[in-house]
Amino acid sequence: MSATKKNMLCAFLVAVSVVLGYVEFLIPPVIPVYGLKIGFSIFPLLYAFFELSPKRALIIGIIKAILNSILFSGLMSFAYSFTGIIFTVVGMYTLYSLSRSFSEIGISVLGSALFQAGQVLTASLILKSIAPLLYLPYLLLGSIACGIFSGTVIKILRTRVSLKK
Amino acid sequence: MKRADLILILIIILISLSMLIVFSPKDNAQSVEISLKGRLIGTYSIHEDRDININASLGQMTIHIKDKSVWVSKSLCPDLLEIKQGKISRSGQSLICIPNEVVVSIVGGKAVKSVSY
Repeated sequence: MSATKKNMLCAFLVAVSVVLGYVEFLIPPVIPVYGLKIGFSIFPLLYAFFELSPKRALIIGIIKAILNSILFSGLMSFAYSFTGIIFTVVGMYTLYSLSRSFSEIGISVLGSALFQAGQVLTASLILKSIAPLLYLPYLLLGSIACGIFSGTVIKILRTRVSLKK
Repeated sequence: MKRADLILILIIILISLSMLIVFSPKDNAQSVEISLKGRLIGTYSIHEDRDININASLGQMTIHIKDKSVWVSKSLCPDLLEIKQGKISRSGQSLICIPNEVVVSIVGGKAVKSVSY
């Protein structure tokens, strides 16, 4: 696949991600804990991570964070999602390059857990308080469920729509 | 799911459980600390009932202390999570409103006199 085609696919994935993020924004949080969401908008990023490259996944994540904060959630939330995305992609890339014994599910669980960790650390730094850290265990447990879910979705998606032949 | 995935999930569960044990709230609640934008703006004794109005980042916010429990009743925060978090009464617990940049936390230790800065 040529670089232009890949760039085009990235732009397409960003668009899908923003729309999924909007759908999620419409659903009010069920559990009163910050940041605990299924995270539909992570699907395109995960897809790009496995099918294109981690670098492109990182770019998609950053553009998605910028667009989401401008369109829906306000600029304040940019700091949170930005650190979250950086943590996620860097962590997933490290695990992915260290060992091939993890499937999409394991990598996505790690990504999801690191996203929460990144957000909570940002909140702690901004509020200069350890209080947000107290939510981390709940967020981590929740992120396992979210990670298994999104990992399974990506696994199925990759068997249906694969770029690597 | 592969075996490595399961091990990873188990490690994350272990980390969260140990954090839960370390951070578990205690029954020695003494004072309520309210901070705005990372600055402590008031310390109140949990034994005195009172309503506190503060000017948070998004506007007025009302915090109540009554019968040794603390809750937020009025806020201009869009998701109102700090109200849905309900009442807290044990030291180590806190109410956080990220859009308003407000943290209300219960602290144990020595009894204090109420001060607002």
